[in-house]
Amino acid sequence: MKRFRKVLIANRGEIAVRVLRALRELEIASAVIYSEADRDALPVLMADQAFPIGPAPAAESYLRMEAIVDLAVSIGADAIHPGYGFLSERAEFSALCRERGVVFVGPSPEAIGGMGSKVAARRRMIAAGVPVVPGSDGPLDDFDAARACAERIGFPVMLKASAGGGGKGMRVVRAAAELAEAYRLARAEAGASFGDDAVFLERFVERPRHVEIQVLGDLHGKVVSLGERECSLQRRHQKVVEESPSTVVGPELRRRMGEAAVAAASAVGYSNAGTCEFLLDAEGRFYFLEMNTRIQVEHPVTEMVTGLDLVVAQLRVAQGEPLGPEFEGVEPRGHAIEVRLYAEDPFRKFAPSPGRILWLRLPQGPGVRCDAGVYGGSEISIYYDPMIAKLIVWGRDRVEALRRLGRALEELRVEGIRTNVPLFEALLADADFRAGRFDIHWLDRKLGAGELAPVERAGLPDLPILAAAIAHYERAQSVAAVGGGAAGSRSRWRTAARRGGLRSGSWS
Amino acid sequence: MELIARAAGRIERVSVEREGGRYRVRVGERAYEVEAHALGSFVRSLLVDGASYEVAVFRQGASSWSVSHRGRPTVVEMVDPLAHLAEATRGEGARKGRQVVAAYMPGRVIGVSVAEGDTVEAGAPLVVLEAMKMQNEIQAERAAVVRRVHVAPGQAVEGGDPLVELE
Repeated sequence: MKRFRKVLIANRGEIAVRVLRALRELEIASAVIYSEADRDALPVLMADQAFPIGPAPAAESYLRMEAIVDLAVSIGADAIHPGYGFLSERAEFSALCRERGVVFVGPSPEAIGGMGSKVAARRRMIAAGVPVVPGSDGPLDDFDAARACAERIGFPVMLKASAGGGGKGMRVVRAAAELAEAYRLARAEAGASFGDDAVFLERFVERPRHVEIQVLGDLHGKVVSLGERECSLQRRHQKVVEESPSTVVGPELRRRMGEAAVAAASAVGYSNAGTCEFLLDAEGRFYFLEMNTRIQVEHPVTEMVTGLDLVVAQLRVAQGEPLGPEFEGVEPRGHAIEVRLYAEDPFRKFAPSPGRILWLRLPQGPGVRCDAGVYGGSEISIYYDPMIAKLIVWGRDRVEALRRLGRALEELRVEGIRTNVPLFEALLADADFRAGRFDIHWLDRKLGAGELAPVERAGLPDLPILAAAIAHYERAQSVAAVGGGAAGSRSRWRTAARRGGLRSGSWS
Repeated sequence: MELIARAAGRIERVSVEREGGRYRVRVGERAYEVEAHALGSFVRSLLVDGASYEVAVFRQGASSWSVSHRGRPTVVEMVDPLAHLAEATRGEGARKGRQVVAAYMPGRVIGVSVAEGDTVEAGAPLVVLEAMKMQNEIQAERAAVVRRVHVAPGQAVEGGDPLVELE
């Protein structure tokens, strides 16, 4: 086993900082790459070494495989940690690292490739005994085949166009009596939309939850499950809140899902950290969706309830260390919740809010962890993901975790840019969220129906006027003191437009 | 100092007096004792009759301020009572003059939906801006005629740059 002396981080933002922390604790030297937009970013300030990799657009910087591996070789880095996003799930990058004698901190190119194609992965999962959404596995020959298949898997079922996508040609069938008509219509619709009337059939999973299992594999063939994360709270397929444990997963279901995830990972010879995503229905049936072959954004909730450091573990197994007894039979302790703080304006249809952070105070105190990639003075660039930090809270139970989340959000101060904090405040005030009653469509449904309104804070209605009056007074005094005149302004329409946007008291 | 404050649809008479480190501020009929301390360039700690508030105050124009309390902004205009009176006398018509629609964030112009001389309805798309891989449609706030178009597709803009002028 060769211990790493230096590792290159091929990423930016909070995950680069997260990996840096793990490297420090393992006494491994750190190097980061940075684009022109990130020269002043936190990872550059924190790392032992930092190297420019190109202009701001990711394709010209963080995605330059050859240049990154060349750099790793030239600075004597033993390994590259890809973080998440960017090159983390590119089999060819993992292969290129191997070819050049640099360890890729992640799975082998074969394992990434084995999970990369949805169709091939599904076939492999079925062979490994991992439950997938039952279906016809290919186009139906005729109506008799459709009926036989529907009877085998049970109603409700969904008919889908083989050539389709985007919801076209999809029909939900709730009873056998409706199947003939639905089959005829689905084929006609598929033919009209895609020029191909082939349809297939699968079980319709109603109001499913997104529950994922964290797995970790070493280079000696051992794979373990580290429990689930509940990630059903999504806005337009983007996770917003993640927690562990899930309110609907007990020890028995956790064991079965864990076994399925380990079987899935083992089927592709998986090593390092990975996540198997499942759909979980109201009856406790679960179906494999896909595997994310990297560390996840939401890994801290698993860390908080298991006490394990997943990034340290990634580095250790990449060095060839076998998984120790601390990874056996892991059960969650307490409850952890993560919210993703984005530079976006919930009052403007969640439009991105890039700009400079002029004032920043991150929450601290009992049970609070904040993984940030920014500092007061940081620029939030238009080129990358607008996530500025992850706020993770831990409590002995979910009620305590929610209380701490509310307290931590009150402590947080971000000025200069807008953030999605009002969304979390609204969630904390929502009875369904507090009770853990939601599915993957819930948040979009609530926002769409206007049922998740911004929380009106009790407070001092005159406060903005008081603050502006004092600022105006002070400015008038200082202008008078230096003998300056008042400059004209044409910005009133702009401010009026802003005011108009804010007055509605709605999300958009 | 006597002022008129306009904020979120409210219009209030305001007076500010300083007494040592304290301010006596009247808003309409309400009187407040405020102790204000600047923390850095934008953020102030206000103790209003003992209650503690941390606010960020940004100047947006000669008489316009954006006050942010716990991340929520309110725009407050502070105007001279005579100027306010003059504006009020000119009436709504005068205030609905030319409007410069500006980019509210830096980004790239993806599309321009109007040309000079076009008549647009309230809500009509004007410009599509892209930032952080998201597209945002900027719409007309009211019915108007497009007087000028400042940008073309592909152009990069800074926050505050004029996009379109309406009248």
